[in-house]
Amino acid sequence: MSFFRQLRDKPWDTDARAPEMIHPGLGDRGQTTRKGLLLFLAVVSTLFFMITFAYFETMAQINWTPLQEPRLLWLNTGLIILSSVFMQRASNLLNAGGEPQSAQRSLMLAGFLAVAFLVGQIMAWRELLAGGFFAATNPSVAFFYLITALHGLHLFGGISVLAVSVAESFQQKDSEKLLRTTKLCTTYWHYLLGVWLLMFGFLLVDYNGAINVVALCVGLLTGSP
Amino acid sequence: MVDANIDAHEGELHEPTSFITKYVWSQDHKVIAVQYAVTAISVGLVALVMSWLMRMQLGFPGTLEFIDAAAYYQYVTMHGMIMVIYLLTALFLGGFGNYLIPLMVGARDMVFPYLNMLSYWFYLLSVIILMASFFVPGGATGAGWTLYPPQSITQGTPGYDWGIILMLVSLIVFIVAFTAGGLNYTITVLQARTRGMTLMRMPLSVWGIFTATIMGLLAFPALFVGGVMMLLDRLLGTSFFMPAMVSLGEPQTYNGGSPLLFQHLFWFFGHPEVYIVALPAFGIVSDLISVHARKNIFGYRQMVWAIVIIGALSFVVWAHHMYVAGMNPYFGFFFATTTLIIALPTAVKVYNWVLTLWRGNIHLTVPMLFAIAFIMTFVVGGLTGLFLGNVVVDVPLSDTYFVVAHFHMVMGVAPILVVFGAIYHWYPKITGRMLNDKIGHTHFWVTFIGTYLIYFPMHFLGFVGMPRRYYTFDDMGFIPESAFTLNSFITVVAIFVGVMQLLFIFNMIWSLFKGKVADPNPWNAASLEWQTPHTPPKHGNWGPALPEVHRWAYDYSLPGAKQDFIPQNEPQKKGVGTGE
Repeated sequence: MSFFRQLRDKPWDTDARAPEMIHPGLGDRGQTTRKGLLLFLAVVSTLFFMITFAYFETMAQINWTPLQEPRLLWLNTGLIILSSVFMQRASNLLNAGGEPQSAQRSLMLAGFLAVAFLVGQIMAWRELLAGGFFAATNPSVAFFYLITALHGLHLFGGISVLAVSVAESFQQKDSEKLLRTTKLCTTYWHYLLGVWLLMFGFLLVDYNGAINVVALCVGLLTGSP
Repeated sequence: MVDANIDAHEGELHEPTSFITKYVWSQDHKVIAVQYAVTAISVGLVALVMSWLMRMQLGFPGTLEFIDAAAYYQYVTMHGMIMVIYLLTALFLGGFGNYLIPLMVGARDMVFPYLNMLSYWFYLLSVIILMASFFVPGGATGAGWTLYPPQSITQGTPGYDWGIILMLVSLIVFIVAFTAGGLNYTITVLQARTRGMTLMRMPLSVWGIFTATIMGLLAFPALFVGGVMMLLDRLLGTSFFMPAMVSLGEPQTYNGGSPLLFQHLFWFFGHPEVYIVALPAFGIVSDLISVHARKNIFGYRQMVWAIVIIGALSFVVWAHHMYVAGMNPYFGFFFATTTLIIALPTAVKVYNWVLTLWRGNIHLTVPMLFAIAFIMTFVVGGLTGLFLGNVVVDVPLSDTYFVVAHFHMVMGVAPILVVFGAIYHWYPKITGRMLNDKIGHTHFWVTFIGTYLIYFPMHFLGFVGMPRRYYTFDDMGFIPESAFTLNSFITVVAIFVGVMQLLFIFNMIWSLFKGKVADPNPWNAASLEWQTPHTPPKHGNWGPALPEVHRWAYDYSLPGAKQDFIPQNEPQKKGVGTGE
């Protein structure tokens, strides 16, 4: 890592090279924004790591009652995966030098699928609420609401940026900016997909959920779901 | 949003013209820094008043009739929370970080100026929410700054109705503000350094702020999660942290939560927080000492490494705040060991500061006095930390005034001394005028001697077993009469020293208009912020062209050089020696 290599520099030594040879100066804008995004994702990762820690810590308690996750979540998972796929497709099209119009449909589809995912999550909430599972019912329900809400809020932020920023690029006909924004959004989308898959996995692995997963796999393998 | 004008290497800067865009909705890092600093100091004064009220109750119980037990706990809580988060964190990172980073690394501004502006306004919002909690029914929360559940959200604790809710919301908003600012500080250091400015040519102030910011970005999410979960416990009746319990004779609906979980989350944030405040202080004090002793900082690389190592280690010591909460002895052993290991890089720093002073050309200016005072105070506070880091010594001393003395010395007063030193040092650059020297000296001696008169006796109070957080000490036969006399003495000194801080505020305001006009580089410092074409620096900092950096920030008293310092942007010349 160049960061740690640089820590070995001896700055008191004279260095006769021209300053730009030693350090080239202000970084490229695209790189700067990308690094900003990656750092932000590191912060968000810490956030979800902490929740996971709290979740497993609470799960270890004797009076943990597992939650039967709504089956709708599987459909939602499909939606968010598709959304990511279309984001990647838009990114690829633009990266290959395609016209902004060519990516427009993929971008809109990705955005639409992400919104559909959020709507689906809300429907899953409603299903649980209708079944009498309120946040106060037991910790597993509370964690379900907390995790899905935080994840949903992050995705909502992403959708807002996508809508505003991408629409702006189309209006300004700035294809370079469009490419940059699309790439950043794609990274963010994949990241949130990853977070969702992990969190969904963690939600399932509490006792009942784990049994469901095993039952499902067995069902799929034996052809009798 | 991200396409701000800082990309313009040369020429063409879109300077804001209206009053509103220039001073209110400003995206200029210097204005935002001042906004941060003024807000932080103002809210800090509120916390100072809280400490007077607490001291009145402790020194002269019952004199002020409006201080009942509930009010006392509210003062304790708000004083702690404000001082640690809303004053020190905001001032070091939002204030000094904002002002110094772009100027010290040779940038025109932060890399995301719009985000930077949002950061301040979110911070202000969090402060307003916090202050509002004084005026809601039931008043501010009195849960202690650690906000431990279950008591913090159980009836009977002051501020149960609204105070705790506003406190948690305020913290959550603060963390959003900090994240927006923190992304800026980090990425500006990584991406916006000017030509020739390698990481290892940065002044240590930037290193301290940079490392502290990364720590903050990784530590605050723990508090965020804890805050959100507790808010849900309070508002929706979830049981994240709340066990089944009976309160005021009534069984509660809570069931199955873990109060200890909150302690882990809180201290996973809380301990790095100590260093989030300390590391910028370490960095700034290194620069003050070097400039005012006209010597290069001793062991620059060690200083950088120590900052990074302390930053990393501080994430694995958090449970030393929880020894009395009950834990596996092996855990205790682990956390005691890591705690003591942190003393090593910290000691390296202290030795290097002293060795920088050694045979230096020491100018006892006001900033230098504060810097030296910091070293002494930090050593005193740090040594008592070695006591408390050990489980067996901590258990009896925990929850006594010994702990109060320890953390006020090491992370209360010591960083504040650096804040003062730093303001005296950089005020000429920020305003273009010098602070009054006589008032500065008076302020220094009162503050420095006062600190020891206030906190030294508290160590003794701790040894005789005086418990902290108590509103009253009636019917405690084991506490000798002398302890109460000492308490009255501490109170008198504390109020006097506190009032004398108004001298400093007066100095800042008076000098703004009547102070001596400052040279562009009154301390003859080598680092980049003193080499701006204008003082105070104008929008864009560097005029038409960015500076080029040819050396590190510590070329002082070099053999063969015309002056006793060589600015960072002066090209290398033959025949002029180097720092080593």
